[in-house]
Amino acid sequence: MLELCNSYAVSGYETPVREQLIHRLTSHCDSLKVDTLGNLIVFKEGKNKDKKIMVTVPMDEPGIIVKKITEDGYLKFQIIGRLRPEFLAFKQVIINGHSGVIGLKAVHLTTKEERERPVKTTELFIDIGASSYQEAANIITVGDYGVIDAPCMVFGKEMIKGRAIGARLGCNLMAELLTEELPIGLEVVFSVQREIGCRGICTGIRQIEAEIAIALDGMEGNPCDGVILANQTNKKWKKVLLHLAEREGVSLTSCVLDAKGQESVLLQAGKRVIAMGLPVRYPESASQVASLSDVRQAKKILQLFMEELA
Amino acid sequence: MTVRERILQYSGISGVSSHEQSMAKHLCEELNRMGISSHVDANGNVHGRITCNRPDAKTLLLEAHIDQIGLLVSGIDQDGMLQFTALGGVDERILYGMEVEVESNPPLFGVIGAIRAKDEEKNVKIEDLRIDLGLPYDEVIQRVHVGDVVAFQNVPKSLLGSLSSGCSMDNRAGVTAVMDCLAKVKHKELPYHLELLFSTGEELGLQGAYTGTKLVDAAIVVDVTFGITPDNKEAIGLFQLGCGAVICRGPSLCDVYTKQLVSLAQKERIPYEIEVAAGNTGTNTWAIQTTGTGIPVMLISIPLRYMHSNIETLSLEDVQAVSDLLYAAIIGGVNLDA
Repeated sequence: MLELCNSYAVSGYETPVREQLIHRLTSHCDSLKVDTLGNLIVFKEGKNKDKKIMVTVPMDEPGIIVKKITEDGYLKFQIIGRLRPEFLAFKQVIINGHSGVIGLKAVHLTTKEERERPVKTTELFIDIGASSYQEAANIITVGDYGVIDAPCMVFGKEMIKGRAIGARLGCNLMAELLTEELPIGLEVVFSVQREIGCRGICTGIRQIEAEIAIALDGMEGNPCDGVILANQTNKKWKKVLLHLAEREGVSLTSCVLDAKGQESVLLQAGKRVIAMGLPVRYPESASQVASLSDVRQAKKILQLFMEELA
Repeated sequence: MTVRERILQYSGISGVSSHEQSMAKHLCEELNRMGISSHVDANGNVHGRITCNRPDAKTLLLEAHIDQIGLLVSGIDQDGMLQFTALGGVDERILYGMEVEVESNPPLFGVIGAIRAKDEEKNVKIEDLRIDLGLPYDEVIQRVHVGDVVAFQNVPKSLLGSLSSGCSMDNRAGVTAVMDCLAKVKHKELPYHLELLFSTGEELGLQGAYTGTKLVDAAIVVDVTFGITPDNKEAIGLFQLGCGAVICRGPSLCDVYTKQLVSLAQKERIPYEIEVAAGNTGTNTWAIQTTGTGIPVMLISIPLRYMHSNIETLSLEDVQAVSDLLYAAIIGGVNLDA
C-alpha cells in the first residue's frame, strides 16, 4: 500500500502506478490490458460466471508542467489537475529527478496588499538552483512535468496523508479485492487523467460490458465518518447498500458532489452508477488526509454488495 | 565535516524560539569535543571561550542565533484539531498544507489544513487554519498542551550546484559558518581571546543577545540576509546566491573594523558584497552594540531566498565564504587596536 501511495503518477504520466498494479495483478486476473490512453483494464471471473460489476478508480494525481525557462534559470509552470496555487507556494517539487522549490519573494519585502491577496499561478516560479537559462535548459525542457515532493505518511490514529490519497487507496483496495476469490465477476478500470476531466473513463467504459458501475474516488469529507455514497448514486442500489451497511455495521454517509466526476461520465454512458468515495480532508492539496478505517469499511461494503448480487 | 554535512546535521535538530534546548545541548557537546569550554546560561544561550596565550589580550565575540521560527499551540478544538499562532515572523502564506511536528512528548506529526470555506478574494488567515494530528480529541488532550511549540518539517534538499533548500537555514547557516571556522581554529594561536555566543530567542526580539552578551572589545555577528528572487530583480539591496560573504555597513556597526573586514576579504580573495543598513539591521548586532558601555560590532551575512518560509534557499559556497572570512579575521586579520 505504501509503495503505491508513494509513487508519483501525474495525469498523463501514470506509468509508475500502472506498472506496480500490473505486477501485482498479472497472475490473479483472467484478463489484463492497457488501452490506448493508458487505462489499465482488468477482469476477474467470479464464482457466479454470469454476473459482474465494474469499478472505475483513478490512478493519477495532480502536478505541474513546465511552461517556460526564464533568462535567470527559473521555471514558470502551469498546474495539472486540481491543486490550489496558494497550496503550491513554498512547496518542494521534483522535475526529471531534480529537486526544486516553488518560491515567492521573502515576506519581509511584501506589502500588506500582496500578503492578503491569494497568490496566482503566474506569480509563482520554480527554483531548481540554476544560475542561468542555459544551466536550467541543460536538464529541463518546456513541457516536462513535475510532481509535488510530498511522501506519504501514516500518522495519528490510522490516518494517512498523501497525494490524491483517496484515489490511490482506492486503487490499492481494488488490487486487494482482485487477488481474492470473488462471488461475481469484477471488472476494474484503473483510469488515467481523472484530474484533468476524467478523460480515461470516457474511453475506458466503452471497452466494458457490466451495467452496474461503481465510481470509486477520494471525495471531500470527514475521514472516520465512513464511506461516502454521493447522491448521484442510483436510488435502487443506494437502498440496497444502505440496508447492507446497517445490517453488517458498516458506516456510510452521504454527500452532494459539486464537480463533475467519474460518475457523470458513467451516467452518460448509460451505466447504473454508484458514486462511492473515501472521505479526504484538504482535497485541493498534495497533503490530503484519509482514514485507513474508512478503507476497510469500503472493502467490506464492496464485498457485501458483490455477495448480494450473486 | 563539510559545510554541506554540517548544515544538514544542524537542520535536523529542532530549535524553535524559546525551545532551543536540543540545539544548545548539541552545540555544547560539539564544542567540548573540540576542546572548547562551554556552558548554557539561564536563557538557554550557549557560551564558549578560547583563551589565547596573552592574558591581557583583547576579547572578540563571535555570535550566531540558534533559534528558528515556528508555531505555538494556542487551543484545542473539540474535534482534536489544534489552533495555533506564529512564533517569530512566520510567512503565513506557507502554512496551508504544510507538514509540522508538534514538540509534545513524544513529538507528533501533523498537517495544516483550513477549517473554513475560502473567501476567494483573500488568503486563508491563520485563525482559520488548524493542525491536524489525525487523532481524536481524547487522545490529543493527553499528549498536547496549549503552549507546546511546533516546528516546520522539511528535509533539506540539494538543488543544482551548491544550492540547498530547507526550513531552518535562518540561522543554521550562520551557526554552520561559525562552527566550520572553529573547527579550523583550535590548533592555532590566536591574537585575541575568543568568546562564543550561540544565542536564543532572536526571532522573538533578540532576547538571548540582550541577556547573554558579555562586555567584550568587539563582536562579529553571523546571520542571513535577502537573496534575489525573480519577482524582486529590480530591488536594490538584495544579493545573488553565490556572491560570497555579505558584509554590512551602517551607523549601528563599527565602520573602522568593518572596512578591515572588506580589505581582508579582498586580500584573501574571498568573494564578498557590501550591504547597507541605515538603521536597525534586524539582527543581534542591534542588541550587542549597546551592551554595557558599548561594543563595536560587525555583521556578516549569508544571502537567503524565501526567508522565514520552510524552503529557505542558499548557496553552500556563501556559507564557506563566511567561514573563511571569519577564520581570517580571528587569526589576526582584524586589528582591534586600530
